[in-house]
Amino acid sequence: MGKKVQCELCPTECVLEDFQVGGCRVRINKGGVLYSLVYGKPCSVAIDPIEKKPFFHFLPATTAFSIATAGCVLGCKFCQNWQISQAKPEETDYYNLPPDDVVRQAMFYGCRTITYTYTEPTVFYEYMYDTAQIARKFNVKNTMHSCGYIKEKPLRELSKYLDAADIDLKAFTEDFYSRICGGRLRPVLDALLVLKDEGVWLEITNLVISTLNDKMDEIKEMCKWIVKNLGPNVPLHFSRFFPHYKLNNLPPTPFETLRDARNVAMDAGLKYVYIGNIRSDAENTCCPKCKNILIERIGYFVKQNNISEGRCRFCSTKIAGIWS
Amino acid sequence: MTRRDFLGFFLLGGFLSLFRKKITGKKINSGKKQKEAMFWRRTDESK
Repeated sequence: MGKKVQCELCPTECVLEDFQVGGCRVRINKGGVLYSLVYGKPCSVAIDPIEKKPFFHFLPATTAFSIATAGCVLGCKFCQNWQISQAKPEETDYYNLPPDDVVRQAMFYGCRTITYTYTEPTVFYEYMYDTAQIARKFNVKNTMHSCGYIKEKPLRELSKYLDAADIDLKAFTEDFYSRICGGRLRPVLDALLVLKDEGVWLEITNLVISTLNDKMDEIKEMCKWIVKNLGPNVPLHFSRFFPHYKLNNLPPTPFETLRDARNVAMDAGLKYVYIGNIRSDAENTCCPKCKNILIERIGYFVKQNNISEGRCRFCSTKIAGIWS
Repeated sequence: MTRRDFLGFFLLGGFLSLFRKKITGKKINSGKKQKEAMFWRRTDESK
């Protein structure tokens, strides 16, 4: 007694005995003090197009210095990076890359942005926070791709240094989050509201999985919530599912389902809705007023960009996003 | 190459490999202090 600690980073709120590790696998109670096991130890380091995150309304055609450590706050059965997200730090091959070196390398390789991604950045909060602080000083942008399963206080603190966030809204039912992800929906919605409130540029990704979260009624409800609470300018990415991890038995999402979801989202009032993980016209950004193609993409490659000073080059409509 | 040359290179290679171990054989992350986490509390403390 007396050496128990409670982690207050994510809504799971693990209570840990001495030398016990949290559900995220990367935070340990040692003698009544909670430590991070992954500070400065990324297991994935890469330079990606910003479109891969995906960010379609944030510095298009630039590169992002992307890092991740082992661990995750959820246990999604469809995880595409489960080899690292569901691993303990000691089970991965990691680098020794302290925050200042992350920023130094990002600048050396000409990356405008550092992205905390691949696994769940909440689990390496301290590493991300320190790196983001240094990056801000050197005018390097900070973005994260997160599941949004984080408590309000740490998220507000992080938002001071965060320029953009792509949040995985995995479904719009508590049942899905409980059965498939091992979490809850409500905290994710709360996180989205906090990010909106803090003025962080927001994009949302929804992985559409056949039979699990592809009901158009649910998608409609989700889109209505987004429009009502976050506004119609939030880009929404419907992403194609491929069999992975524990959901190997399900087929890849048919294109027709993704197309229908996009139509539902646009009918609900969202202006920028994309389809990802499959090549189509729905990768392009179109002007919501004159309908001309503003950014033409082929996968992660930007073929043409007709946005000038944040406006449509054809009709001067303001296009939501961070463009320079 | 004579036997003498071969022996010379062999010994030189062995000698240099000692330095190589010193240069590249550093254990990554060994001895690093762990970072104290943010956002936690002792359960005997009130919120």
